[in-house]
Amino acid sequence: MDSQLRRGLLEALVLKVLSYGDSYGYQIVKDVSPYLEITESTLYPILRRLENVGKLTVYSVEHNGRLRKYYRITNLGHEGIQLFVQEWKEVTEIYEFIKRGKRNE
Amino acid sequence: MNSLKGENAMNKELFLQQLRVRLQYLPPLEQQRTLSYYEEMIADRMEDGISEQEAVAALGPIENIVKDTYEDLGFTQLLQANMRMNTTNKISDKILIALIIFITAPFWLTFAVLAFSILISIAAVIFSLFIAFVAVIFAFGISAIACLAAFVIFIIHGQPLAALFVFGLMLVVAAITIALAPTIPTVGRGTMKVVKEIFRSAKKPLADRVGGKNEK
Repeated sequence: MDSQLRRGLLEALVLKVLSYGDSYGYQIVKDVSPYLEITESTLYPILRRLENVGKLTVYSVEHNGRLRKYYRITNLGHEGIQLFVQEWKEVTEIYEFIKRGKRNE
Repeated sequence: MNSLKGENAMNKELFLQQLRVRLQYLPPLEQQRTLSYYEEMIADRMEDGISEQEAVAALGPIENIVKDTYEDLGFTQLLQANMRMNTTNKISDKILIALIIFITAPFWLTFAVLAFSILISIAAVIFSLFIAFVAVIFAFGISAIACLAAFVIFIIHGQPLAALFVFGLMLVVAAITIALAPTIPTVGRGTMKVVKEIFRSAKKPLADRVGGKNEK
């Protein structure tokens, strides 16, 4: 898959997962994996990029004697999800058309 | 029973140590954050019941982590990282290097300015193409309005043929405007993407250099 495309999809997936509730790195990897292959090293730049553009915030919570970073989606992040849905509506229409067997199906 | 062979079975401390060395050219804060992140990932996996070696292995090859980390830096941060790669700790070396940099300034400054201005010019050309695109659509829109005005004037002056002609013209021009205007946001986003790609590929040699294997 084109790497830019994959990055865009992963960003949207991460935001969507966070829209269901604050989460931490490993849990995000588990939640996104069923939809698109993701590793810790691909997730990290995505989390940082989303934080840099203000689509999510980070905070620390103590867990079993160590600090665990939690991520929370922002309003800007929610808007990002909307934008993704709008853009991809067109993509699905194109996909449906190309998938057609005969011309008038 | 651990199914991983000796070479690949790395433990957490060794992994983090290697990662710290490879990431040494990052700004200290970024370094710390990145290391904490991977340490946290390993700990979380181990909590899930995965063994230490498998948790480390699950992070993938250290090369990928290093590459992704450096490639994701901004231009200025990447330049700083490259500069950090060049520094030495001996005072005499530092003085010598400062002297050389100063003396050869006309050469590398010229080159740096040239390289950067080429990059900026390419971005500027692409942007101006986009602005021209928007301006043309705008001009079409204005023309449609002008045709409407002309149409009204011709009607008032009792020149139906001229009015009809101008009306037809207005329809064509308006149609073009209405067809093209909605594409502006998409074209705009596409333009941004192209410019970002150009800067991204310019960063790649810097990222490769600072992320490459080093035995320091």
